[in-house]
Amino acid sequence: MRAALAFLLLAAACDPSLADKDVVGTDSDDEATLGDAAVSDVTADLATIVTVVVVRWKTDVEATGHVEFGPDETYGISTNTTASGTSHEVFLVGTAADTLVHFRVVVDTGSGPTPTSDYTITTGPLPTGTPQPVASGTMADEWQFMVLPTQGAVAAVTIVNQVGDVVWYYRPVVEGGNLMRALLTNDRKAVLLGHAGTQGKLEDSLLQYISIDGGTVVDIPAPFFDHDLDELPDGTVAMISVERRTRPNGTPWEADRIVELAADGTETVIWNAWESLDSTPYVDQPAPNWTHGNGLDYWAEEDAYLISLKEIGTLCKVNRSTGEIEWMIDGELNEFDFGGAEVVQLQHQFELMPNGNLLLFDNGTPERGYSRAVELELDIDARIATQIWEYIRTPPLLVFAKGDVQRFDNGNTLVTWSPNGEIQLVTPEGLPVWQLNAELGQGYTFVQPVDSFYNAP
Amino acid sequence: MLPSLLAACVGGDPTDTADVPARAAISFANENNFTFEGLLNIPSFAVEATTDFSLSWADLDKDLQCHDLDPVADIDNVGLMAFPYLTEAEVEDGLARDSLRQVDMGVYLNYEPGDATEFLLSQVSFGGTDPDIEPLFEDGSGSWLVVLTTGTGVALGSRMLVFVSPQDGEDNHAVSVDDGCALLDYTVSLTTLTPVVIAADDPLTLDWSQLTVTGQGSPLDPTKVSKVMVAYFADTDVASLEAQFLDLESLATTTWSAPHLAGVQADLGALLDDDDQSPFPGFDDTGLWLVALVCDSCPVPAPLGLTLVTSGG
Repeated sequence: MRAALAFLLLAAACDPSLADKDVVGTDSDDEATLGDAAVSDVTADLATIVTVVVVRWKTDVEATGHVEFGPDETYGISTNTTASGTSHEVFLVGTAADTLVHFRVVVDTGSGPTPTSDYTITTGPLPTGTPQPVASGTMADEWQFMVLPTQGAVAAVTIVNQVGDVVWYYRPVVEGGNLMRALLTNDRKAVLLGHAGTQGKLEDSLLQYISIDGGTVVDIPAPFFDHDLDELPDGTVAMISVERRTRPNGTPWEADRIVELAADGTETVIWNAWESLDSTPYVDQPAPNWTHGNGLDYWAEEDAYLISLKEIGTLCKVNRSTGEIEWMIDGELNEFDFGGAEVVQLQHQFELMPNGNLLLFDNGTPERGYSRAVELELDIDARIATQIWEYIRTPPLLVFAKGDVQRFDNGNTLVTWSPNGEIQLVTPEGLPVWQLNAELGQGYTFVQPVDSFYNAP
Repeated sequence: MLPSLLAACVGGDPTDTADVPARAAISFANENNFTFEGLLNIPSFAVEATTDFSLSWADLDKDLQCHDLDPVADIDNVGLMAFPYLTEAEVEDGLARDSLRQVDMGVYLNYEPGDATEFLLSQVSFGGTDPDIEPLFEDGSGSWLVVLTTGTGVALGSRMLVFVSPQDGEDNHAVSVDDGCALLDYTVSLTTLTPVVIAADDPLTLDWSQLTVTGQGSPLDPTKVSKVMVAYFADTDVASLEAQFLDLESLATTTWSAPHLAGVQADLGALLDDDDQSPFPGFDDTGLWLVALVCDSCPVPAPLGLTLVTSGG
């Protein structure tokens, strides 16, 4: 694992044979003196992912630098600052295809930042088959970009901006892969993909790191990974992983674990349903996996995990240090009193909010006939769950699998009707103000809104 | 072939086209495009609501394009789509116009039949989830479309379409389909388009940057063009081709094609004969020549762009 990550981070930005130097600027071939530094050899290439631009430059003395870029000479976006040196490289990420980009290099030898003049480059065309959703409505700046893993007729990961333009794309070449999750990594240098099995075999599950320029793909076998993963602040990957055992009658049987994969390749089992829960009541059930973990989040504030178990219908909070379940809500193992309110049925993704409230995508059953987003106020000590908000789409949809929710500071909620290929931003009053729709044949799994490709936390 | 396409399309600087003289590429623009209007008449069968039913295609020998079909070898997947808020007529229209969105489809379930030629409602599943679908299959629950496909892609490779309509009081529990020939009505126009005229010394670069509307009248999304094809017809006329539009490929004397990876230009010299893989030699002034921009991932089988090419000296 360590070697793989190192390879990812150190790999060349892109294959030079695929990138044209087409920078247009007033001093692209000339040396210009900026403050205490002479800047030379400013080049801009399209990366392997042709919506990404690689800008390189040299300075005659040790300096740091960054690039400001945008649709015009007011720029608007700044890359991260390069390390002190004489050769510099940054990626310009966030621009749509076939779009003119203005940029300038800003160098600093310690006596203050000094910009070059303006350069331009046009990003390339999207590859054939790239999913292109349609966005409508308006939003506040809840996010700038969204990571969209797409399933169905096309398996792909795209990152789109607020108006639905694709600014990053990747089509996984994993035969028989089942793309479940995609996350822009904390350091913003890669997109992490989780494939739950290939050719239907969970033994061959795979994680992939795709460098942000698309030039490097690192495959990491993750046997028995399934459904969901998360990234911890230190880059450790936490994932749902299946463990197979045998029923008393000799047939195979599965349950889920929470497994951490550290950057040095160390695997740690944090929690194991086989050890933590009683499998006895489920021994005669036909489902191959008696827990069926379908959603996992790391909760940094309490160093804990939330894992959703669809077969049981229960969401568990797991203490990361002890591996003990602290509380369980919904489903067969529910510990909470809902006070007569409608209980959650077969949830998928969720969010434990800073105020302690729990936001869930409540799939519902065919008998109920609709899915919803629901917010529960939790009194953990008293084990009381009070429904304080819900959103049911008009007209309603019943989502059999997946479904995702996120809450923003302004109170708006992102609701992802995953297999139906629709993502809505709704106000606290339940009014949709923005939505994204996939074309027929394409649905989503879980989505990730992100603010920026730079200044990673 | 692939390296040359990559060089032309992926690594290329889009601004390069601005530096190239206008006649350097064969321009395929809106006025050169054919028009295609399709109407679907999907058969509909009433069955008992909230109850299991079977659908058999054992006797199906012609698909919706009236092409021969082997019911065992050619059907890889049965898709069951519920459109809860659309009528059957609206679904037909949406499919014909390629205007349906994923959210219009409330449910997609499937069944891979193997060598079977029948499926039951109770056999369909959603990935690893086996929902109890019968409670949803109720009277007034919208339009339920069964799609028999070659391949397993959602809404792709359609060979036969059938509506099943759940109705209270209906005692039918078995549906059988045997002929798709009456399903698709279409009007196509090749005789009214303006052919692309090429000069003898024109390079074999096709440019469709000025093609903004598909043959179906929708805005052209360049990323949908997955294949570029040239077809040569040694002994026929345009009116005959128009009359046998669904059989163009089989009527062609020779076809050359190549996958298209990105952009709005293609090097026709990189196309390969679909039979013997020899490279496309260029147009001549014999017979009829068609150029097609094909979308392999679109529900509608007609090309996005299709035009005639004639030599102008």
